[in-house]
Amino acid sequence: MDFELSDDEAALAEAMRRMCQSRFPLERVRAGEGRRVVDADQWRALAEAGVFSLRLAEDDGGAGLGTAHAAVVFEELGRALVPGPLVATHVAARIVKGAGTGEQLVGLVHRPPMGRVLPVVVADLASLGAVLVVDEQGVHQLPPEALEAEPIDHGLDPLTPLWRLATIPEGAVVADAGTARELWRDHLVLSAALLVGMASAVAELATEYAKQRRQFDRPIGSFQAVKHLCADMLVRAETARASVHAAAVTIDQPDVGDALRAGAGAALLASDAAVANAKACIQVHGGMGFTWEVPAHLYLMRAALVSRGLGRAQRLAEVVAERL
Amino acid sequence: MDLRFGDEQERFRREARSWLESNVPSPKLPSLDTPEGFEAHRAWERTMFEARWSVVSWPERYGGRGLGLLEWLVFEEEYYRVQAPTRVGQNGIFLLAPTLFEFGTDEQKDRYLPPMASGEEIWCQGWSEPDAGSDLAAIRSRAERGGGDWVLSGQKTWCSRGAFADWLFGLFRTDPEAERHRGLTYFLVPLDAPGVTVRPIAQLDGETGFAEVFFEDVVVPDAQVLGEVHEGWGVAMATAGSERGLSLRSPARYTEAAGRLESLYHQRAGDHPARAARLGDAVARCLVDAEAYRLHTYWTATKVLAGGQVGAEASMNKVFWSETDLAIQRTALELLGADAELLDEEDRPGAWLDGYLFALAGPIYAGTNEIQRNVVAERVLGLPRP
Repeated sequence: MDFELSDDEAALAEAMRRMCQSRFPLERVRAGEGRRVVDADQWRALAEAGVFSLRLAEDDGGAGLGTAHAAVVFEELGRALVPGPLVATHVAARIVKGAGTGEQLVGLVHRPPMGRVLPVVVADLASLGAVLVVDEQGVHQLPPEALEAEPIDHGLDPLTPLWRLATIPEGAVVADAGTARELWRDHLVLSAALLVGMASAVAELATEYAKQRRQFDRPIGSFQAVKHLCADMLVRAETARASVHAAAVTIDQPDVGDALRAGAGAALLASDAAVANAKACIQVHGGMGFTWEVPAHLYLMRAALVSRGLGRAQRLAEVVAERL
Repeated sequence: MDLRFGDEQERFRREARSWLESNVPSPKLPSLDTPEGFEAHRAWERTMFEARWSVVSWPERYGGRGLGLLEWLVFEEEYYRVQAPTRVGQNGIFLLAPTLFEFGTDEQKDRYLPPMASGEEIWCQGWSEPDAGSDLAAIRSRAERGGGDWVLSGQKTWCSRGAFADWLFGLFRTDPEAERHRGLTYFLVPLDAPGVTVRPIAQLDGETGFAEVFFEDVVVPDAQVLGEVHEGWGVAMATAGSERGLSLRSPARYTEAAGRLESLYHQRAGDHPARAARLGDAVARCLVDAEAYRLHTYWTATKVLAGGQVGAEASMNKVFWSETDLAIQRTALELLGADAELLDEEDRPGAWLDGYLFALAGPIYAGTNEIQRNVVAERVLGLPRP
């Protein structure tokens, strides 16, 4: 039992943070607002850093690392609001050739069970080389042009272009139902890692602002009402992080528990933490928080989008509840 | 990161489970806030002590097994798994003992730890006063020199188990001229000393194990000062870290309650499908939260084992466990509906009602959650003081 990051996990997180600071400073990320294609140079930088291949075996061009390593990497990507189909491409790397090297961008769609309502929304479609559809039968691979998709002009997140799908064709089955469950589980956990990074980033943003912004001749952070907003942000981010790390470790060490249940639980906590923290960050910033000057809204929008992609808090709770 | 326990720890878990399963009292003991219940719980402490289960993480010379923090967490998981009795000695073994280990002299450790471990001497905490609650440094109970000893006077309140306990550990003002966080001293006081009066207080849940304690010229020798004279604040804060963080509320308490909630959900789902459907998400959320607290504790334990300290982060734990506990109990009551109050004692739904009423105290004791949030904001996040 050792729940601290190992030295190499910590070093990887640190390297990824430095990479994000040099390649993805917020002003550069924000320069992509409204664009409908993923920046190829940025994507190459991510691939070179090993974001998509790190869990592949060394013989397959990967680093042979575990999900715990991936979780700390995705936490940093979330913190920096790095755009693009990061998690989908990473989890698809074991199936779609070229995903691990960054040559192919991949989308991941969870086919709603029969009777559930479409439409389904897919992100970054114009940049994708393949779309994987997971359902109870297995994993289906589709070329993006096979999808009847309609662009959404004003998506929630200005950094994530979206398309609406009215139907999802069958597609070729490329992997079995067990693999489909693993892809979805890994997608849940690594998306939750992105959300934890966001939850921490906005907690820090709000805390810094509360120290600097003065009203009534003192920093607003000296007022208890503001303090409690900040303290709650930290508590939410830290408990969600413990949960996400545990879910990642459970994927790597299956004998310690039910990884899908752990993943759904982690995704539930991380979604709540990211959305609630972004709202609290806007609140701490007051009127400034409601403007585009402060990036708090970008975190709120991304957090809402990512957590909706996980099937909303309610469905995650169902996953946990079904496994009660 | 590695979430697997080692072979030694797994063997220890099996040994603890097997002993607890064959020794846990059945039927359950009467409430420890009654005189007969208190003595029954004291006898259970003795039973555990004799088999060396009462304080597994203490050195062997004081009655422990010399085991580490992780083994202690494992023991707690097993202890709650079989729903063993509430630890009547918890204020001593979980709150005072860590402080004795850190600040006590060898004589004090030899004198106080073994009878604490065996339940022969049960301790209560004497910190709060009528005018010093959240603002603990405002305490006015005094200790003055007299005849080569200390003479204590004043009043302490909210002393859990105080109605039946044998000893009290508390803070008294020894230098009224000093700045308010200084000039305090940490005393160990027998409750049968001349001049001590204990008065039980009826609590919200109807129990009366709580007490206020009055001191009128109570004579206490130097040997019963813990730590340095006038340095009691620092000594007390070490105890507060234990109370809020790791040792008083081990996560097993909540994962066990969440597990019972899960069983209740399954029991009730058949008869009350609509209610179960409405509450399924809330039940899941309780399980996820209890598990997150467990994981966060493992994280803290790992940090401590690597040589780190539990500081103000303990306040984060306190906010989280107290609110998670309330959510678990409240969700159970909603699942039970009117049955929560109507079913008789044998079906023990009353346990949930009791649990709920007790959980209401969680955001208050061990430092209110409002104060904990201030601590997190000021000491962890570095936000300015008012």
